[in-house]
Amino acid sequence: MRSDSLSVIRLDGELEISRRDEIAKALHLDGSERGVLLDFSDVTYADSTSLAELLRFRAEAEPHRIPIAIVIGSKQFARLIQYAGLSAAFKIFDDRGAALRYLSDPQAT
Amino acid sequence: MTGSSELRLHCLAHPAAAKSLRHALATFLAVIDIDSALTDDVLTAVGEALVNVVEHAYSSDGPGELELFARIEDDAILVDVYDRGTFIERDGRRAGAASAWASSARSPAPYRWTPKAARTSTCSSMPREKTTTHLPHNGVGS
Repeated sequence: MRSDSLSVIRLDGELEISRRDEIAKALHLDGSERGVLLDFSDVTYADSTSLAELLRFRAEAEPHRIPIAIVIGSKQFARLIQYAGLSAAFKIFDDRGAALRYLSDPQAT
Repeated sequence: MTGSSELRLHCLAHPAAAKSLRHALATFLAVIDIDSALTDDVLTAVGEALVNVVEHAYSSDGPGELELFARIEDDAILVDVYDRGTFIERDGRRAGAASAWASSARSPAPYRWTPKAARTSTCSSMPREKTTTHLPHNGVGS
């Protein structure tokens, strides 16, 4: 059954290959979430290891129609997503407020 | 940028080594008067080359050698990442993501770097069975 609550997953620091297991463990769904906010406001660097885990997480959420909003504070992280051609694959926001507004009504945007 | 300086580091290709070498490169680049976005791009590209070595160069027998050689030559930042392994397929999905990134890195970028010149080649100064990822950059941001 779909929960009324949003799930917030927060990671910080550098999301890189030596933290792959931690990232994979954090990006976990139980399938009942109304939406997921990935708060990466305090992430300072990310590599393709994180992108792979984000894509895996997105693929897990898709069958459940669980919307995902990602808050990214690091320009490097934002550019990595852009260069990888994945900008359209994720709903990316500069701040939590905008991300929460999207999650409150994903169809409106 | 004028003159010449260089950074050469050598270690085993453990996952933590990619981070350590990238941090060392960041410190090396910090003395250059280029904008932060350009530094980010260099660190991102080199970081991916380092991750590729950690992920795909060596078998489960254990990590082999990883070397980073960065230098500033007049108006260029040149970074080579060396390994002595051969390509090891770890995981189709992750390799696919890495390939997607590598493809995008060869696309036109908003800065005047020269990703199209990035190449994998043999380096004559290293023993056989090694890979060189060469990322020339003219060091000028837009």
